Parts: sequence; structure tokens; C-alpha cells
Amino acid sequence: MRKKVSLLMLMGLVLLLSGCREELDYLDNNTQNTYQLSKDNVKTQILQRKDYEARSFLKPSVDAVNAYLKSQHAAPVSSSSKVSSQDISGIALYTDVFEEVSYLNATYYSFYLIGTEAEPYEKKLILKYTDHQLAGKYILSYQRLNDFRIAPNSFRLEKLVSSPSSGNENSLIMSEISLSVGCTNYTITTFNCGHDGNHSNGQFCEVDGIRMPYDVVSSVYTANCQPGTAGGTVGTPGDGSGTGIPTGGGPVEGGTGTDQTPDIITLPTTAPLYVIQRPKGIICNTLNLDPEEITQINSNDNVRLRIYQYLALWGINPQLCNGIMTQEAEEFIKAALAYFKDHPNDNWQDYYNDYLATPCEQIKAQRNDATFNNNITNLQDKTSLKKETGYIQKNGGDYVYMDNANATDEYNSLALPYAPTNTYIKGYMHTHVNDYSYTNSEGYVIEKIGVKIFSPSDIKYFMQMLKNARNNNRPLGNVYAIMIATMNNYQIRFSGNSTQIKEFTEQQEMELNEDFADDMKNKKNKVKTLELGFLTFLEEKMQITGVNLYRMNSDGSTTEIHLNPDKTDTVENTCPI
Amino acid sequence: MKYLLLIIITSFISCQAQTISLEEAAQCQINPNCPDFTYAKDINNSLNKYVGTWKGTFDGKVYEVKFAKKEFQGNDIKDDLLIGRIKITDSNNQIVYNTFNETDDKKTHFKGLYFQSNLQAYVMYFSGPWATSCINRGTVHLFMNINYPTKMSITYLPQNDITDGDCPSTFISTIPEKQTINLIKQ
Repeated sequence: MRKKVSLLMLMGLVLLLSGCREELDYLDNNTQNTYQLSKDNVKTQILQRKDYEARSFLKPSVDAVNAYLKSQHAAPVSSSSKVSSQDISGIALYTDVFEEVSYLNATYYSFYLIGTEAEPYEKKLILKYTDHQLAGKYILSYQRLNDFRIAPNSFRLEKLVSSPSSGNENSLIMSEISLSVGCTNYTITTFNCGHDGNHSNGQFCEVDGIRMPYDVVSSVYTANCQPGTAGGTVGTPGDGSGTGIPTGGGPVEGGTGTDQTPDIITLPTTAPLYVIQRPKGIICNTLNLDPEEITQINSNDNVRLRIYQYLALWGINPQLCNGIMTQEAEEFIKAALAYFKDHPNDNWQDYYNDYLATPCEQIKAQRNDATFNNNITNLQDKTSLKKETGYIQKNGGDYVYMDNANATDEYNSLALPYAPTNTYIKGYMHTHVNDYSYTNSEGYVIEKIGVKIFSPSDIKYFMQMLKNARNNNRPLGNVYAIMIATMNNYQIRFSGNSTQIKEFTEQQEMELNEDFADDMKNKKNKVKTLELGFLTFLEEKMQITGVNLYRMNSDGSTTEIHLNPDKTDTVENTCPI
Repeated sequence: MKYLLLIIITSFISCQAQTISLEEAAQCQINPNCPDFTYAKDINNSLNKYVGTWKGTFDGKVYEVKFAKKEFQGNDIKDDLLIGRIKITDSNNQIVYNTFNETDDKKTHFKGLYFQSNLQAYVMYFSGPWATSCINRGTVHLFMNINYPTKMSITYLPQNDITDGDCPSTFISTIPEKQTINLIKQ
């Protein structure tokens, strides 16, 4: 039974997180307040330190809460720290990166709490301003699971109020409202850019020509519900001021029940912040990020989550001070952050497609593309011609058919744009024509039999495209070459690093073509022998590593082919469909 | 003793199966079911008739071609094949191409591949001087009529391949493309 409930809760959260909606109209029969959060009326921004300093009205509240938090945690100060004692004296609000959400006449500012002792809850302070007046201070807490998801039903909302009995306006009394308790419900709203259901947290939406709002957590108060009927306990009784503790189902603010804006609207945290200020004044920079990178990673929830997920695969927890970083992981993080610095409008999927997708995934995406398939089909129909034809694909994605009008039956080679100066090409596909014969002037029949796999010149051109990509900081994994022939269609992709890109002199190219003609002369008609011969030639004669061979099967599947460890045979792996 | 004899016979058959004639190997150009072999041997001395020096004229140029028969160990297969050398002299008696003096067989850039499957021609691979964006390499097909052992004709076909850039229209291949050049044995 418990399992079943957990499963239902999990499904509910998944549905909540994955549900892309243009507009949330949160209304049911028991709801008095209805908030129509949409991408048009909710504006979200990730702000940084300079923005905090420009919003001087925030400082008193932040300082007050900081003072309260420090008094609650009373962490000792490390004398060896190089940062100010204010920053390291334990818990503090993180003002280097924070959020601003505007909805109707309300503005919400959210600051993460850092330097907390190890505890299961992450916390953030939300300051609500209505008509530019401070209208509420809340601390939202939630429990983080190992996979960075937030535990279902772990949200807690604490309202901070001034204590009139103390006479000190900075003296705060804390009370709690549980997310799933009483008459207040919280929901997460996501906005859809229109791209096949992709969420677009803060990313630029080309369809609408706007930067998309972030997902928001909002609270909705059900006015006429009965306390206790919704399950759970009611929040801590009020402070006597009658200004905000929802006891007995009363409204959060002033008991009017007609507030036009929710108690809080904030962005759900998808991954813990990366902070180097740890409890008890300890500074530890597990990921070796510089201040600018720290601000950047904390400014992009989605990127941070993705980076954390990759680190988890390597067994690295950025939250742990004693975590062991590898050079590979560090390079990965810095490369990702550099990418998003250069491409602020891109999302993680863009980055993944360009830099992280496996060749199989790249080819799968190609083979799901109608234009690509049309071009392949077109070339397949042209293998019976006595001249080679093909397409190049530009980095922008456009294909250009290489008109081979000057070719003859005898001189049927295909001229591709001179690669050293035409650096805009990311791939090419071309035919190797069917075997044919003709009779010469003396009546002798000449057999023209080609090798139906990439030639050394094909490989050299591929290497030149890789070199162009490297020199122009474009992803190497996007570069490809395809050969279309009746026997099979093949594709090569690169999965190595930039140091594995080789260049060949014209003399080398000449000698390689001679060796290739010799090596392949008895392998032309045996698929497996041809593939083995090609891969062996590539590795031993051309001394190229990092290039992978794929057979694009006619049934739509793709087979990766590589040499076995002792290089005596090939090993095949079918790409996941 | 019986087993020893069996092993010897089996080994003998096995060794024999890995050596095939050039004529049999020629069928591998079109037949995917041709047997595996490790040595394509000129069992029938089919290459002997090409060995020697040949000379002919085409389009004002004199073509002298010299063939030697060699045993060549490739990456995984051994072949009996021809190694060629060419000297081309233009109408002004200027030598435009010459590998006659190249002593290293690997540097003549003119090496035998196989017999065509129809056995009408022996096919060699030739590379002339590199020309950027052009193809100055391909197959040379040697034709001989058994009734005229002192006559031979050769036809060069450029390799089908991509080129890195457009080949200028002024390009002239070392051996004229698709043309039949008649040679007389010297």
C-alpha cells in the first residue's frame, strides 16, 4: 500500500514537472483565489550581485534575515578564511545570484541560504513586495534526493514575521505552513515555448521571439476549505498580530481572502547551488571554478543540474568538500560553461546535440530528418550514373547539391569545395558508382570496378573538415562523411580529441591511394572483409584513431563497426533505435 | 603413422588452397564467393608476356614502358605482379615524365593489381605527379592479342574519387585518359 502511494506521488510529481502548459488556470470548485499564471503576466529574471546592489531596498530585509539566521545557527568563524567574516560566519543569504519574479502588482525576490549545516533541507528566502511595499518574508524548504529531484511533499513554507512583543522589528518569529497542509496548495507552473513540448526555463524562444519565463512555484489558498480536511497539520499558531499565520484556513495576508497574488512565487531549484562557503567558515571549491564561473553555474538552474548529473556519473559530488575531481570532469564543466557563455540563448539540448551526443545519437537524429533521407534516397538513385554526385551540408544545416555537370563517363570524380578555404562545411555525402564496363576503340572491354567504401582522399577531406571545425571552435562530433553505394551506405564520425586530427601532404595522399588500391583489390565484394580492410588501413596505414565507421542499414538501423582488440576481425554494435 | 600422414596431407591441401592462380584471383573482382587465399601466384606465367620494354607514339609523344615481374607481399596477401616504369618524351624531344631510373620498385608509382575478370586485360595502378584538386592517378589496362605477342595497347582511366576543389580546365593527365596507346616490344 505504501509502495502504491509512493508510486502515485512520484507519478504526480513527474506529471507536474513534465506538464507543459501555455497557461495555468488554477481553479476548482473549492478555490476562491484564482491565479492565472502565464508567460505573459509572469516575468522572471535571474539577477546577480550588481542587481542586488542596485535594488537597495532589499538590503534591510536581507540583513535582518541574515542576522536572524546567524543567531539561530551561531556558527563559529574560521580565522584562516580569506573571505569576509560576514560571508563565512555560517549560514547566510546568497546574493551573488538571486531571482526576481513579477506577477501583477507583486514582485518576489528569492535568495538561497548557504553555509547551512548538513541537513536534508535546502532553503531559500522569498521576499514578497506588493506595490513596492514589503508584504511578506518566507523561507521555502524542500528535501533534495540523491538524483537531485526534490522529494515529493517535502516543501515547507515558513513565514517570518516581526514580533510586536519584543518591540524589535528585526526580531523575528518563525511559523510554518506545510505545502500539503491546511488550505494552501503549491504548484509548479511550466511554460512551453512551442517546441515539441520542451520546457524553456529562461531560454530564448524562437517561436515566440521572447525569453521564456522560468518555472514557478506558487501557492494557492483555498478559502472555504475546512482545516484538517486536506490532511496534515495546520501551521504554527499566529503571532498575535493577525498578519499572516493561516490558522484555521484563514488567508495568509491580513485575512482578507481576496489577495490577487500568491504568497510566494519562486523558481523551483533543479539542483543545489554551487557554493564554496561551507558551514563553520570552511571554504572549498570542489569544482575548481573561478568566481565568474560560480556565478554563471548558479545563474542557470538547468545547466547546473545537467552538469551535476554528469558529475554523478563520474562519482563526483560537488557538494562534498572531499570530492575528487578528475581532469576530464573539470574540462567538461569548463567547456560547458564556456559554451553557454558564448551561446546564452541555447539550452542544454543544443549543447548536448553539438558536444555530448554519441555518434549513434547523431546518426539517429540525421536519419529522422526528412531532408537528410530525401538526399540519401536521391543519391541512391544516382549510383547507376557513371559519375559521382553528392551533397555538402553547411554548418547552418543547409544542404547544397554538388552539380557534377562537367563529369564524363571516364572522368567522373566529384569536386567538393576546396576545404582549406571553404570552412563552412560540416559534412558531405557522395556516391561511389556501380561497377560498369565499356568497350574501347580496339574492341576490348574495360572493367571499371570501384571500392565501395571511403577512399584515402575521402578521409583526408573529412580530416580537413575536422580541422576547420577545431579552428573555428565548432563541435567535432558534428562533422561527418557519408558514402552511398549499392552494396552499403557508410558514415564516418569522429569521437576523438582535437590532437587526433591528422593532416596529410599531397605526397602522402598519393602514396596512400596507391596502397589503398593494393590493399582493397581482393576485398571489394566481401562486405565484412572490406570493412575489416578499411578499418585496418585507417589505423595502420593512415594512423588515424578516433574515427568510427557506421553502416547505415537499409532497414533504418545503424551498425557501429570497429576492430577487435587484436585487429584480426571486426566487432559490430547496433546503435540503439 | 596413419595420423601423421593425414596431417601432412591435410596441411598440403590447406597450403594449396591458400595459393590460387592470378586467373582465379581475377574472379574475386566480381564474385563475392571467391575463396580466401594468401597468395595469388602466376601459376600460368601469364605475366611473362608483358615483361620487357615497350615503345609507342601517341599524339606527338613517345611512350616507353618497362615491365618487370615481381613477387610482392602485401598487407595480408602475396601477389605476383608487374612493376612498371614509364618515360614520356614530347615532340621537342623533352622528357616530360620518367621513372626509368627509379631503382626502388615502391617509388615507380606504377604497380600491378590484377587481371580483369574477363581476363582481357591486366590492370595496373598508376600515379603521376600530384596536381592539386585534380586526379592524376588511376588504372592502366594492358591489352595483348595472343597472336601478336610483340604488340600491346594500354588505356588509362583516372580513379573515381572526390577532389578537394575544382580541377582547372588546363590540367592534362600524365597519361591521356581513355585513349588507346599502341606499343611495340623493343
